[in-house]
Amino acid sequence: METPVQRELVEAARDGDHEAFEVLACGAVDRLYAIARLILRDADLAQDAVQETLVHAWRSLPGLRDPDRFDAWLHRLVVNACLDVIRSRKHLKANVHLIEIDLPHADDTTDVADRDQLERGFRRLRPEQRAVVVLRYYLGLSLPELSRTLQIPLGTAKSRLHYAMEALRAAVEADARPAAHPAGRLA
Amino acid sequence: MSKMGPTIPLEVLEGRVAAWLESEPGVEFPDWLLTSVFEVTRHEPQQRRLGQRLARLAGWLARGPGTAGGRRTDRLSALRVVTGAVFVVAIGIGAMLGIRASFRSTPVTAPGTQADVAQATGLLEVTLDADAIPEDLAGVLFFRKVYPTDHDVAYGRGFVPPNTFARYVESGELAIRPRSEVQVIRAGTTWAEAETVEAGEEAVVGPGDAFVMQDIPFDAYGSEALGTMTTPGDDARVVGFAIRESSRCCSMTHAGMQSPWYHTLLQGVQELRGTPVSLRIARWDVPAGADLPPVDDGALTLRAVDAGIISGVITPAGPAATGVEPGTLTFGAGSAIALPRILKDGDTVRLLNAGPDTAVVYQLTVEPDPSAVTAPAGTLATVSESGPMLSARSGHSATLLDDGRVLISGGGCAEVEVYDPETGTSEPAGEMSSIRNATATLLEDGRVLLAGGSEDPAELFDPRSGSVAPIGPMVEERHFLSAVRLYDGRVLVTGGETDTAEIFDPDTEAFAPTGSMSTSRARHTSVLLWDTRVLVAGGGTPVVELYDADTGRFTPSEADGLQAFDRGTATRLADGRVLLIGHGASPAVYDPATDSVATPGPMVTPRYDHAAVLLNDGRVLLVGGLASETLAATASIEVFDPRMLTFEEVGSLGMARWQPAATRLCDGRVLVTGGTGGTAPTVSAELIAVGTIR
Repeated sequence: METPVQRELVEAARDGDHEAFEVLACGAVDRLYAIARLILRDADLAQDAVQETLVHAWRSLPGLRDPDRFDAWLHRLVVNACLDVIRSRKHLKANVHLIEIDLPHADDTTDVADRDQLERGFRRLRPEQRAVVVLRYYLGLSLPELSRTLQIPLGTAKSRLHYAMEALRAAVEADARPAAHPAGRLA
Repeated sequence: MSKMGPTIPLEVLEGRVAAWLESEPGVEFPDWLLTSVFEVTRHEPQQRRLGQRLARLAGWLARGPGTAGGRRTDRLSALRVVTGAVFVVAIGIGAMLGIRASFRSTPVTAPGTQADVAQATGLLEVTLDADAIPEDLAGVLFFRKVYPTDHDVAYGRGFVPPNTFARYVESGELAIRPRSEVQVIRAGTTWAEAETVEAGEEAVVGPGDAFVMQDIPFDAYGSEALGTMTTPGDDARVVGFAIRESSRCCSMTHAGMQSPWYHTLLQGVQELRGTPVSLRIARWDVPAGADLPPVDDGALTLRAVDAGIISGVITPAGPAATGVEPGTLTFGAGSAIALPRILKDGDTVRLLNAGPDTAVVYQLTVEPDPSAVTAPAGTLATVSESGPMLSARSGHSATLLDDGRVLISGGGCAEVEVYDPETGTSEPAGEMSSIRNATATLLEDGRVLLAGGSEDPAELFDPRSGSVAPIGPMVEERHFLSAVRLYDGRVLVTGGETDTAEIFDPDTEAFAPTGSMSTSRARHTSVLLWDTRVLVAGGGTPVVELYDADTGRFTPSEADGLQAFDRGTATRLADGRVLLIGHGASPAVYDPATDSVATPGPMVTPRYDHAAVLLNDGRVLLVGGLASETLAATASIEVFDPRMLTFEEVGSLGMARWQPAATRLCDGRVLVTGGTGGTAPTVSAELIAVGTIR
């Protein structure tokens, strides 16, 4: 999927060209940040993860054999960085709460209640499950792409996504049940 | 998995999830952060082969990350190998003269625990247990994520500077290995002469040096002296670091601190310079709606708040807590506040976690180490003779310079000299344009402003060149004036047989008029308060005035009980109050917090034209002067105890003298110079070491 120009940049960066790497990083950083934010649900943690990703990418770039797989490789790095961040801060999990400053966008398909349900459900997913959901439904990766990106067998990718969606569905449905109570929602 | 209701079809759920993820607001990765990443990658080698990586790791384990040119950092290496991934909180404290840097590693993990790290005279490293790593920790220079098998690259959030760097201590000096370009400003040099240390290189900084990272712009308060810096915007982070002679190192970082508190913090650190300090770090997990344990005293304190805290409210329990307005000072995740040393014994500050979640609060307390006082506890003052001054002086100034020496100026001669406590001798340091009793005010950049006392222009003493040079004229000719450095680095000059005042701006080296006092003053005194105002007292009037640098206006105090005095001293106490002693009045302790006056017990030897110095332990040393009862010069040394409001005689000078100057040296001793003994000024100098409180 990489363009010839990008391939050249990757090759140059792989050979130690800082400028080429920075061009690549500038083009990818917002996307990586978005992925990290979605997985981590925390802007600061996401910044950490992206920094780790980019430095790791620079250091490890010589090991990237196929320049055409640069984007997928970066996605894997950022997912791994997110998982590392979560693991390293697991003990603080109870204290880490997302404080959304951004107002929710008006959206025809997801109202506020829906977003809240999904948000809560998503938070209950394991980090690995969050990652596959983000890669699949945010980046739009196919299952084979997802498999290659995360370097996991296709079957594992399928099952992980399946269980993630099942868990998300269960969480959303469980979350929706109190709605039967007349005054229990729309806080 | 049982289901109680209709199952959401997968396609519907997928659509909802995709729409939800898509609807997340897009946020750009911060440019400054990306820049900092590039600063690292530009200097970061790529890992090309497994063999190289293994060799690198082996080398790292063998040498330690700070190795360069054979330098070993065994302690850090050991720490790293043993503990693996840890955060290291590093607090740099410069080494005492002649004392090797010490090292302590103290875990602070459990809620409510408190660890004393006493007498940190070297680089102090505090290790936080990996299972209790704080997300954000303020009030320290930086914290650093250490990888057991990789570089010591540290990217942090919160308070980790964008370009963090490693630093290690070696024989009392500090080696820094920056991740990006660092400017090192050597002692006695200016910014223009700063050395650039590229990432990957290592530089050793020693006493008097300061260093800064380059991609963080300096703000108005960034000073050479402290090497402070901030990042732009509201999310201000301040990192100050300088190594001064004799433990004059300070380091701090904070986010979102309000300006007065920031200044208070700086001032507090400056007050501590030259003093070995003890550090205490405490941690509390404060449930939502609960109070933090009371803050019990006026120690210089930073509070760091972990992420997840929504807000907190600090409330003074009593009216004495000046500057802390009830309910108005809030702080949130990642912010920190500094409590000035304004609380009296018994006062408390209530710190309430007003957020919905448990707050993790860290406290870093920096206190002077009482053991720094040379004489042991229980003894009185030990007086010894020092080498004489080069010129006989009386009514002169003796100003502690940043390098620990003392500038001696005025007092009946134009020559300026610098006293070196290490040798006990003075050396000539230029000459003023005329014989003048100018005030001598240490500027933030290490120079000294010599102003007034004649019709001649003001002058600047530059310790780097060791000479005096004239600058522009003052707005008005002043004699027997008073000058004090403000929090922002400017200098307020008041009175001098006039009611006017003016401000000296070191950036422009020019004077400008400011508001006027309510009365003309001469032989008065002024002192900077913790709340950034300036107290002007004495000069033959009972009126005490408070100058607000923000408005440029003087406001008379309405306190009862003040008496007119002159030829006296105003000494700011550790708790923010001011001890006033002078001719024609009883001693008084003015409390700017309450705008009230307390009357201490009687002095052993009532005096004026004396010298007063705040000691490391909070007491005030009073030396010499004219005894009010006999009108003769006195050799008496007495100490004022602010806790008991009492005076106690602790010894005698070798020579009775009035109009001496007294300067607290970096090692805690007090240098007494000059004054008039019999009928003429003297060259005599003496050193006093006061015992600790019994």
